[in-house]
Amino acid sequence: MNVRDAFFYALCALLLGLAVLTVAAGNLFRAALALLGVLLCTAVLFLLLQAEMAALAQVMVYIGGIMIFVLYAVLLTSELGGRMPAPSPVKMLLGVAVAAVALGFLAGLAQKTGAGAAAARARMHAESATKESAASSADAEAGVNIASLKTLGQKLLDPKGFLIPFELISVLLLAAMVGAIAVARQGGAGVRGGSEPGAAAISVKDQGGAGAAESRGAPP
Amino acid sequence: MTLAEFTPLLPDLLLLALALAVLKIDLWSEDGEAGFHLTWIGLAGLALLLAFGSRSDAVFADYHITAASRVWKLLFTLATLATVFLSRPYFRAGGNARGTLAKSGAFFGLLLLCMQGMFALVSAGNLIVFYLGLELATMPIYALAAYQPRDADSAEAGSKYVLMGGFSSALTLFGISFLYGATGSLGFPALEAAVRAAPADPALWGGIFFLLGGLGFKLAMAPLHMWAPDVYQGAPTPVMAFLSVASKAAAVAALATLFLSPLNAVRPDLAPCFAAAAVLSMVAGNLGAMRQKDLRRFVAYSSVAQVGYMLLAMLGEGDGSRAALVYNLVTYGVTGFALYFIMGVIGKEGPETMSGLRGLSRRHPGLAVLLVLCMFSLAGVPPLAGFLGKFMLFSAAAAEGHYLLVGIAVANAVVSFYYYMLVVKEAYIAPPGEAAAIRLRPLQIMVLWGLGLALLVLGVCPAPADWLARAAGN
Amino acid sequence: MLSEYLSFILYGFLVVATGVGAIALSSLLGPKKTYSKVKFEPYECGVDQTENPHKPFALKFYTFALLFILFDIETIFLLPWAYGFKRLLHTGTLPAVLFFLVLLGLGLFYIIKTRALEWE
Repeated sequence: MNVRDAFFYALCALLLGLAVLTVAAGNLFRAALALLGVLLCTAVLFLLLQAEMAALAQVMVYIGGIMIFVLYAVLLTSELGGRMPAPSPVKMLLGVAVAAVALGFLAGLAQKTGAGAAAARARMHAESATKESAASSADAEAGVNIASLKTLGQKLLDPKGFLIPFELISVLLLAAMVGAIAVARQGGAGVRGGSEPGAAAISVKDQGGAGAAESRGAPP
Repeated sequence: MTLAEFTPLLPDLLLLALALAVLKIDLWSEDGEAGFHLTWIGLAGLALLLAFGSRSDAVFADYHITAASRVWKLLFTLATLATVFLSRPYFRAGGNARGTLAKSGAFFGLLLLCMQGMFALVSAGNLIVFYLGLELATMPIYALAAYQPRDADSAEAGSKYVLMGGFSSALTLFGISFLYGATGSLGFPALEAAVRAAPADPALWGGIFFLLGGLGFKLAMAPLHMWAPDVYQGAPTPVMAFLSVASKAAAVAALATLFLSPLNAVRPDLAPCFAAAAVLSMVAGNLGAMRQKDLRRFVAYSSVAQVGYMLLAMLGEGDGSRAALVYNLVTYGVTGFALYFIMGVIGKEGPETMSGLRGLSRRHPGLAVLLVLCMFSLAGVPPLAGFLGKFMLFSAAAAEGHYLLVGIAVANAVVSFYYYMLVVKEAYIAPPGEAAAIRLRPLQIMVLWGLGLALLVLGVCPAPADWLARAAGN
Repeated sequence: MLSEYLSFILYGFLVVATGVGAIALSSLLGPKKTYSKVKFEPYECGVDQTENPHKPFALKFYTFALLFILFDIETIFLLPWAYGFKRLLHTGTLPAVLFFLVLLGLGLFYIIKTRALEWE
């Protein structure tokens, strides 16, 4: 066992512990913090796999953005001091059963894939003994990290690569923005001030004061 | 690359430009009138372009423009156009008893962006474009479902749809990752070859399992349909219309895109799965619809039953199934929208419920006749559009020898006749209150006549069906 | 393989170690308190506490957080491009990136125009 393997196993142990804590912690805030740790460990796991982009997205979006959002949601909804009621034993048993089935399936799959990969490696070795030039080119190909930021930048902008998904993502983000604003502003100044006098009057009443209505009076 | 090579892509690019223009115009126009007119004119133009424009196929890396995709796109465009017309009174003060919707510009913009996702979905040539299209086709609806201002039901519908949609997207993505792991490719042609080479790979089946789960949620297929009634009921009626026709069509298209081409090799093994889902959907939908008093909930259950009928076509052979699906969606869309416009009319004064239909035969006899036609068509009574749609689905399944299943479907259609007649009973026989006669707007009269005629023509005249079959079958 | 990210991992380790170390050290070296359950109970004029002082509270922040996440995701997708900027500039990929940027710019324009960023 070299340093890399030791590091991997330590990381996995930490990840699993935090994952269990996320589910088992009775306090919602602590569960959220444990989830943050899980995400961080996953990011390091991605780095170990040389998936730079995934690690980056994990840190920036999940830890930097989503987790903050989760914490705010916790602050908004829960009584921080209170403990959540424990789930019913039937549900727990069901959860364990589903997890066991999923684990069994994935373990079987991993074993099969591992065997397949070993066979492929053996085949490549056999080929490299006969055709050295082909093996060296394959090695060169294997040496390039296909998930590095550099190659990914190229692939994202390559018309034969991921150009169309890349542009679609911008449309998706635009739709998310417009949708987020539409929903977020529904409760407050949901009604246009000018076009409907009756409805505007209701919205003034809802705001509970002329001052609030004035500041929201301008149509969005 | 010259500009001429981009002409097959023109509808998709124009749609994006239209969406951006509608969003921008919303920032400056006070009443949203300009946005409405721009939207419907743009959509009508787009429909003409798709129907009579460039017929050449093209492939832009992972974006395939084919005749079949053009048919789907035309279907989405027409459904959105009908939704835009339907939403007209809902943005007017006093246009609907439930309350007035605001910010029509963002509403239309979101509808158009949603449509863009559906376009990408049917043009997808690889799993990433497919997933992004599916996501873009659902995400704007999260916001649209919660569009009724200060309405707890609508907020509930929005949050339920977000949760269910997010969950189903995650399932879909998980399934896609399994498919990639099993076959080592994202592109559909390579995927097809890999699936044909190793159809028994457990990783592949894991992927199919999760994909079916994810798409099943989006489709509101029976064991996964529990979100539909609440979301349909809470969402504003135009959004419900869009959900039940355009969004459903997109989900069906997603299913057809995956399982009729790249995963076609494993479809015979999946037949029991589709058959079970079909039967469950029909039974759950029909039993649920019987007890409903709210028309939007009623539509939700009835559409679950329709999904059951449509799943039958997944058992048939490729081209015939695709044509049957498209034709059934067209007839379902026409029938559905006729019903939704009637709901819009009665919703002006009262709630959109069964009891709101009371005395419709006196208040507006023409509307009552149209309602009867709708219900007959939904039940699949012969001279109407719904009959031919169902017939094509059933014959696609029967052609592959699934006679028992077709028998169950026919029995279900007969049962459904009962609750569709309950609606007619409300309009004709139930004692009317003292409601005034209904006056329709010119736009409503025009659309209602158009839909009514389409109901009759699509049922007796097989020419459009032929055309669709040829185009969609490719 | 690991050495590529060694500095980064070491950095992360240092960050965590500093945080944990500070807390651990202060609890080791700091004055020891005697703990008892009574000491932790809140005191309100001799009356037992009637409700939990930790209450959920409303924030206007969520719109900002939502939009922040969206732009965060955008940054993620621009990063690979920025990373290989010099090389990619000469391969005719500028229109593709511009399309992406213009669409997001229009989104930002829409956000500003609808006053979603104004603290009311």
